[in-house]
Amino acid sequence: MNDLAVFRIGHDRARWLAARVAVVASNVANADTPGYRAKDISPFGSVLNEARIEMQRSQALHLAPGQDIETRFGVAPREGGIEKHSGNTVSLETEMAVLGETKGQQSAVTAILGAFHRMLLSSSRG
Amino acid sequence: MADDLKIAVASSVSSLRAQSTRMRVLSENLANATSTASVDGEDPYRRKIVSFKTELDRASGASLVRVQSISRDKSPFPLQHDPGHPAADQNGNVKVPNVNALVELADMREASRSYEASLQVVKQAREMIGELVDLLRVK
Repeated sequence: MNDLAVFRIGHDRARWLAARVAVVASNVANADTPGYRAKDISPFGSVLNEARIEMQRSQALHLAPGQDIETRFGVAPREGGIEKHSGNTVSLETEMAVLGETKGQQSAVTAILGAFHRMLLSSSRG
Repeated sequence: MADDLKIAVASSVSSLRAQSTRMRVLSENLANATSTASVDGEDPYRRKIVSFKTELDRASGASLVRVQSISRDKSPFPLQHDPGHPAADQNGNVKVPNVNALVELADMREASRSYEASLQVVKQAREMIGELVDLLRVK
């Protein structure tokens, strides 16, 4: 199934969207933390272009590679934020907008994956 | 990928916890807005301040938030003229708590706004997990 590009891209996209929600969640959680800078994840296009080779672990004690979002996708400060007196740059409105956007994109991904899955099923059933 | 959504829920839950602590302290301030001392020379209720701090959860890589400290407001106590009060000094002035109800109410609105935003993130992360699980269903 992994040979079908649409499933692989859909999978990558869903992972990227989930990571983006996690970044938004930490921004919202730290909306009142002094000195916190709002973050955003690298755009999906650049994630697709960068092939990341994962290190293999031969022992459980080895450091797990690419566990956190920052090493997997890359995180940068969000642009266009207004700094508050406390040095915090989180805008709850922006975060909520990004959250809504992510939801729509995730629905699109699941709809497309579902449609291709149905196509495969109908062709294999004959 | 559901792991990242779980991280999102964990960050939001830490925020809900921190904001409710903030709300608790704010209501303590409001409740004690008129708590004066009972003897002359003693201090009345001193306003409490909550401050937050980012905390990196090493196991998951999530940035959580926690209450760093609950400190006391160092601003001076306002004086009120009330000679009959048990805590009045020679001039008949009583020290009243340095709590301003307006400031506390504004802070409370901000806390509930942040709380609602975090709650929204939890709801949406759950919906997204649900959508992914729904892919398993054969339609």
